[in-house]
Amino acid sequence: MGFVIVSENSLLTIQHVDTAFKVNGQFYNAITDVSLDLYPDEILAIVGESGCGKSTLATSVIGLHNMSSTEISGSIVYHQRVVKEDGSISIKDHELVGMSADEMNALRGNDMGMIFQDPLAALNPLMRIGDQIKENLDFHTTMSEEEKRARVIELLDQVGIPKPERVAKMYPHELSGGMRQRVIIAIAIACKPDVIIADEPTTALDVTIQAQILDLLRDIQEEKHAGVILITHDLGVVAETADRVAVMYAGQIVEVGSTKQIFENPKHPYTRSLLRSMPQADSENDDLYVIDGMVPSLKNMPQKGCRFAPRVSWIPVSEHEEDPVMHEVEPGHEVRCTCYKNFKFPDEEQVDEQ
Amino acid sequence: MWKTVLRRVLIMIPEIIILSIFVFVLAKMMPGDPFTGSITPQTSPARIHELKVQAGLYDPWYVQYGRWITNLFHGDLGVSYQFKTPVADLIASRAGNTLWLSLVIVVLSYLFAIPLGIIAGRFENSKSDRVIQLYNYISYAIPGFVFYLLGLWLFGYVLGIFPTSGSVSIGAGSGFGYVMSRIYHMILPALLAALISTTSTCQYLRSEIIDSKTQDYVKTARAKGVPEKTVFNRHILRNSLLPIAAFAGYSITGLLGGSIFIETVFSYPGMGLLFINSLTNRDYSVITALVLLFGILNLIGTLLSDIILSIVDPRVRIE
Repeated sequence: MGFVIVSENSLLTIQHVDTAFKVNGQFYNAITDVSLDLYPDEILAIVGESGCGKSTLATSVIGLHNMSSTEISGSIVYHQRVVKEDGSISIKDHELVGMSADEMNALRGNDMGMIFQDPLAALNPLMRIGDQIKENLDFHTTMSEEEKRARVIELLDQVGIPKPERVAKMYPHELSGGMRQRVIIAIAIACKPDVIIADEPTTALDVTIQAQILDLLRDIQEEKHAGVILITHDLGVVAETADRVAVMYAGQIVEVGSTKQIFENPKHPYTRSLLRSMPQADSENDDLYVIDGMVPSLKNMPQKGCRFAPRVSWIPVSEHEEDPVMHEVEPGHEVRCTCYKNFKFPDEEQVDEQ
Repeated sequence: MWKTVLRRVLIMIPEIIILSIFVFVLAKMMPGDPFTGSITPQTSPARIHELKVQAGLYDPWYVQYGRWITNLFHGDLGVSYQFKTPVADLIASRAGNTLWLSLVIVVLSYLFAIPLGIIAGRFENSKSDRVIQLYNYISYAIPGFVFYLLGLWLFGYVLGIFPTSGSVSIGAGSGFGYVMSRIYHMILPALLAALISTTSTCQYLRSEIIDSKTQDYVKTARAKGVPEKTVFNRHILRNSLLPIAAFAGYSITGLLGGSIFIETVFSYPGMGLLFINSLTNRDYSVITALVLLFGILNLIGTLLSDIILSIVDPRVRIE
């Protein structure tokens, strides 16, 4: 059992979620026992290597898996804020796991928006930009055509697109990558969602555009008091934008904490390895640290013991827990397994011995 | 748009000239000559020689080509050695039959292939998908003429519901009765040809749909909360139909030249049958005219496909 924070004011409460994919007739867990909360007004970064289950977690929340080959168990509760007539706010809970397609469609795009990784592929090449944004409004609002058109222009303007009236009539191939990502953000925020899931939103963009898109994401999140799940493998992006960080490895969360805690006081060997493999401008050593081995594939995922153990093979097995659980090391900062306690990198040990 | 079309048409001119040279030279290279068939032991070699001189068959090929192409520009395709009528009139009398038959085949084949492709692609790996796949494999594997002969034997002779040859009954008169007789003669060949020509369209559409389903823009649409039915029609299907639409122009004109088998089996007096007859009788003037026509039709087909694609796909639209 993972450690669970149940918070009254959170937006999303993810508890013990397992997502399994069918491979050759058998189900394999892509994420195991993930528990996490998302609060309003925060950017929660999920980091990890490719294949760690970051995107699987995100798509489990918004229900974008092909359900015929996917099994999700556990609980993902969305706490919808409903503004009553007298102005007071009440909270309505929606269990997202096992929700019907119609109920899900009512929430998707309206309460939850998603931003995709590849802006070149995420827009329908045959539809005009304006129509693609308007489609979101078509299914979630009762606006007139006139109002929708005005809202589309307003959205394009908000995401920093020049000449929005002209761009609304354009097709995706006529826009640059950065512009297309802005359009995708406009689609995601069209109905002012509480939860925004950004799946590697800047990976396909060049560095100058990355910063602009992250600033935009930050502005929108602040303006709407939304909760953002930011999936990335770029620790630079995390340090710049995130409020909290969840580190995932092999389908599990191995460390959660505030950005400050994770960057200044990383505990789990995996987090430390990741940080160590970041290029440092002031470092004298030109070689980057490389984590031994690779993320196990879906079929070969170990179901017992510390999943990171094979990649830090120099530490004794006794350092790991048999069934690793999350331990709180300081308020809001949790780490899985006990192997972090005496963990040292091989070259650090050499320094000690000398 | 019109600029592009004009440019494409202009490119076609050198293509047609090269095509015409090839067609002419290749036809001349065939063994035998138009008089081979009409020579009897009594014909004197001098007479044959005289005939050949009259027909200009001893001139160098470029002189013959020059004569042919000049006449061509005057609308004179020469005279059929076999039928002793102007080739242009001969082709004109057959073109209508082939045009109608081809059109009906294309329309029917799309009517079968598109719904089947949609079902197979949308419900991938379902029972109906497997049945459709099986049909595709079988129809692809059976040689056309075998299938046509089987159909002709079963529906024409055994059951006797359809006529077995011709394009219209003798004595069908004119007006309504004539049209009905034409349609009646067309049903069986068109149906059989359509049934067996669905494979590529159907399979192409199926794999396009399966491919489109996993595209990011489909995920974007789902993430917007668009109901599955709309996601399919608006985002998956529209994008999957692009290559089918693009191929349509080509397949219409392609069939005009490609109905040789069906016309031969059903003795349907169209251009395909005319082509086969001309080949066996070394009727040069008809062969060259027909091959040139088929070639030009193919060029027009690709032009049509380009125009269709530029209408349906904004990415290839040229302002």
